[in-house]
Amino acid sequence: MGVGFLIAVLPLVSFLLAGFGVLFGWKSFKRRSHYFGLVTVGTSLFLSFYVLFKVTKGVVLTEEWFNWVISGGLSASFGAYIDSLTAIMLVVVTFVSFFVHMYSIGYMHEDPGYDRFFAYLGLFTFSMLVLVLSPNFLQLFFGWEAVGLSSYLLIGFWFKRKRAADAAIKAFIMNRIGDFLFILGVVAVFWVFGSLDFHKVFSQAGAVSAATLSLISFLLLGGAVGKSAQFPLHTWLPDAMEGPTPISALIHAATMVAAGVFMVARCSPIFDGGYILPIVGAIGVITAFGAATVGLTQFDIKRVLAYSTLSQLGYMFAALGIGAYVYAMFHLFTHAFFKALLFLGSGNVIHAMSGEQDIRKMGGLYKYMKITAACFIIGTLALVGIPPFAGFFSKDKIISAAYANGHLVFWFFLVGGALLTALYMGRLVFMVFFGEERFDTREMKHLHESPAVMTVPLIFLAVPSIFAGFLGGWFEEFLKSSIPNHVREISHSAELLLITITVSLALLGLLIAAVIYYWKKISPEVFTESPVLRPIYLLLYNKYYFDEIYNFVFVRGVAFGLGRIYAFFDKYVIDGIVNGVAYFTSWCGEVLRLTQTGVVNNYVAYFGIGVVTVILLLLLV
Amino acid sequence: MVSVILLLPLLGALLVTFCRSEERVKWIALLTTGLTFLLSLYILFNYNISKGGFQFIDYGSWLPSFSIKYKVGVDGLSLIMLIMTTLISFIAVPSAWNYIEQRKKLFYGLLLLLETAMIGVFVSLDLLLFYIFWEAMLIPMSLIIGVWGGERRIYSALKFFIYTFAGSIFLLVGMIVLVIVYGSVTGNFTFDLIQLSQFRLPMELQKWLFWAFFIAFAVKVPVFPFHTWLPDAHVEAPTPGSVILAGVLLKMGTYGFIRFSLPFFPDAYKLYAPVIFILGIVAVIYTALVALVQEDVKKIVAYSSVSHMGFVMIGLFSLNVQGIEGAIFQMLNHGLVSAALFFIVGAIYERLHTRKVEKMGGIASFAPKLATLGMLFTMASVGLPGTSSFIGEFLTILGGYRAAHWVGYLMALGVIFGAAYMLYMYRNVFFLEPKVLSFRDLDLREFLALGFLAVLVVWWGFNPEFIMKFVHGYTASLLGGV
Repeated sequence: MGVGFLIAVLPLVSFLLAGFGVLFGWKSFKRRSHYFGLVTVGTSLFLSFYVLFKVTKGVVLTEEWFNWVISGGLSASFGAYIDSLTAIMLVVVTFVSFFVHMYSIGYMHEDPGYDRFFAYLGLFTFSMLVLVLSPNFLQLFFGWEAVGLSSYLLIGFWFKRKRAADAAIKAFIMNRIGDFLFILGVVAVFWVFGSLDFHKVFSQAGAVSAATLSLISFLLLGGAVGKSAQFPLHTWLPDAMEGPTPISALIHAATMVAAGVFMVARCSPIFDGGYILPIVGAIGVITAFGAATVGLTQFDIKRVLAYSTLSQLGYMFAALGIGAYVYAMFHLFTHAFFKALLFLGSGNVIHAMSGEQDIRKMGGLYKYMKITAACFIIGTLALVGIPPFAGFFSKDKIISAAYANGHLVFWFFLVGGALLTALYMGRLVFMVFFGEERFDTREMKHLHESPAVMTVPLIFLAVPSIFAGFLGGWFEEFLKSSIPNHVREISHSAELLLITITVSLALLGLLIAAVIYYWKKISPEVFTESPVLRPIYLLLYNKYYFDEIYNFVFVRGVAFGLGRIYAFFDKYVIDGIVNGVAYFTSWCGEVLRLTQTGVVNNYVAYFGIGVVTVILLLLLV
Repeated sequence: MVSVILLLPLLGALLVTFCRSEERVKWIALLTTGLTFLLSLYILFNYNISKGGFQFIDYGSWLPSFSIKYKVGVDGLSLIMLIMTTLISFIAVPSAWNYIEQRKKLFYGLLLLLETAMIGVFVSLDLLLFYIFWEAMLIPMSLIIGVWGGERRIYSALKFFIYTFAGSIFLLVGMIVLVIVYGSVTGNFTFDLIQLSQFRLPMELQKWLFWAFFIAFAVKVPVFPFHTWLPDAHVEAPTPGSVILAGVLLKMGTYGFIRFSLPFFPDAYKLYAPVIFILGIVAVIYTALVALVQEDVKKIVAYSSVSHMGFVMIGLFSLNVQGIEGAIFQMLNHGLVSAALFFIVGAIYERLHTRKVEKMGGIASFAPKLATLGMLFTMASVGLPGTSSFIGEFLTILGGYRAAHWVGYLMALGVIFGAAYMLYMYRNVFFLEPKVLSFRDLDLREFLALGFLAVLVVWWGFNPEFIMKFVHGYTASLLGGV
């Protein structure tokens, strides 16, 4: 036990208190359930800073909580391994979670499931903290799956809606497809190393053949792709917005999707030894660019942000793929702040619009909600990568590193992605906050700035969204004690040129967005209606038809299709044979019964026939 | 001590027979099963782990001319099965509380008889004694299905009886051959389990006898393709019948494999392991997909049992520590989880009088307690870490992978399909717009029974060693002999 234990378990206490309140219908707990969360996660946040402070002095904290699974040579326990990588994650998770808790007080205050919501928030935070604290693969898997459960519960929070219930199932199953590979990866780690302990496994990784490490890292990657919603397992994340908006902030920023990136970084000794890093990078680049193209065409404010998350996670995977583990983590770090900011900001917008999420029905909201708009714009500038906002530093490092390590194709698409990011974020901001009002003011009862409890978190997240980038140098030095960063040096002038290209493209993107959506010099219909571009537009608008294809092939084809065939087979063939044998037996009985006539003359006749047959046989032989 | 546990439910059955009040029998049954459970806990806490082996042995001469003895006792494996049996029987009584409205005396009498027979199967150290309990258990179970079951109860009860009985004939013949061969070689005719398991038969004979035992055990587990009696039996059985069927009876088959097949025929066991792997994998994937398209909640849970028992079978035949320990743990865990799921299905049936998925929906809106516990056991069935199922699932996958990589890869697919059918079922039953106007949440009796199981599932999910420590010595000696 120790400080790590407290950090992880405190949110669990909040879950249990609020959860028992829900279970037994305790009224006194219901309206107070947010206190449990605020106090426990607040304490965890404080302790995380304390741990970070200790770890900056070069200490690695290890804790052993209790034994878990012991069988033969296998022995895994719960505990904590806090190096700089974990310490950073602890701060990010508790920081974002704390402000999501605070925000939810306002956002959820009318919801009948208020206490249930805070219970789930506690569970989610606990799961993610256990995950990042893991000292071994089995605890990692525990956190991994617990995060999956929490997201399932939260995405399906409004479970009466079919769309929410389906999105929850989709998230869980898509994650499970990754977890199927991940658990095999854990098994393979034990098979090869005879241990699941990070320390033992990583220290022996050098002695294992590259082919074996490739297999293990491929299996682990499967899990990361599912959890971090990378191509081809990305389709659950955009649907996950069926959950309440504060949850989207948590899922997209600090918990859940960050887990995949964290895990690959944690397992860098295994990934470095194998051959599959290029695949990691390619997955990242495909997702980064592909999701950005989809983001251009969506009209739901949260869906645009969801695709931007996919895209940014793609950048992180690209960084992992080129061996720049620290840069991947740095982008995760800055992204957590501005993505949480953007989602919470969108929550204020949706709140003000009485639940409307379609950006075609918004416009000119700036004058109604200045704080939210300002914070949202800060988040946008950070995401787009305009200096000196946080995202500029972290994204630029990844793009430059791709160039420096000689991955020119990656570099090209990542730069292209940066342009697209500016385009779709500019489009979003101009359509939501500027231009004419495309709604009926009289119908909007809530059209005003949100209460302080929903704006203060935005301000607290805006601060690191502006300044976190300046921590880059310190961050790099700090994390290098835990994970490697394989980036070649390039000349200062080359770096400057690269930065100039990226930033000017980002500015160009914003400019184009302004021309189309602010000054309206060009109508977007030029692109959507022209005969040449329309098919492309439809392809993007329908998200490359991934959902349709998966649904047709895997859900209706493999799962339910085969299921129906098997069920038929089970009922009529297998059970048919079983019953057939039974009927045949009783039919034999029926037939043979006919011989049992009870008439002595017949029996004498049988006897005679028998005797004659025997004699004949004897004579013949 | 073991004899006391064995006979206590029988005594309870006698008391029930002579009880005048139809209402009081419930309480007699509850007290008897509760006391039996407590006594089995006494054994659990007094079993000497460091010494290992069979303990608490009771011994008596029975039919000396045939060298048949009354001999009972427990080792680590039996002990866990014993705890599971007494626990599930104890849970079965509250599951029957309101469900069984007619002929209560007969019902609770049969239930207690059934408990004695089940305990007998797990503690017998004499082959013939084992066989008697093995067959005796069929009678009360078939009657429970046949008298208190649904519309097609007679069909299902007959099918259950004849199918498992037909399989058991092979077991009896196999046992007699084994005893005769042992006797003619050593000059000592005995049905003693311990003596027989130290004897190594010639390979040819092992092959034949392995399959004779296999049929009996495989039908009971059930191993694909011998599983079709199970969905029928479950659908027709009353709730307590399903609870015991899934909770205890299925484990008799897997218990048979590890208690008899492995020590008696180790070479054949090893030789035929790949066949079992394939059947196990088919069970895991095929039945999960069948479960996905079922419209009757009881059928879904029944097929899920077949799927989960596939993991157990693969673990048992993996012949390594993790596989076997995982399989034993999974047996116990499946007992708890499937019993709880059938309990929940029964509670819903009592309220809505339907088992059709399409007529349910939105129950979570009315019944937070039921929905919460339902979610917990759904996740346990899915094998979420933090529940006892994960331990069993993970260790059996690890065991399968160690036996042969392809086994591990294929059986792990169950992780996906298992989640699919359970989550769809949960959505259709608990989520979505309510299709019913009102729904009564769990009452105290139901909440306590399910809550107790839930505590165990989570506790053993985090502290499996509480159970596993009884098994380590057993597996070590078992694998030492192979």
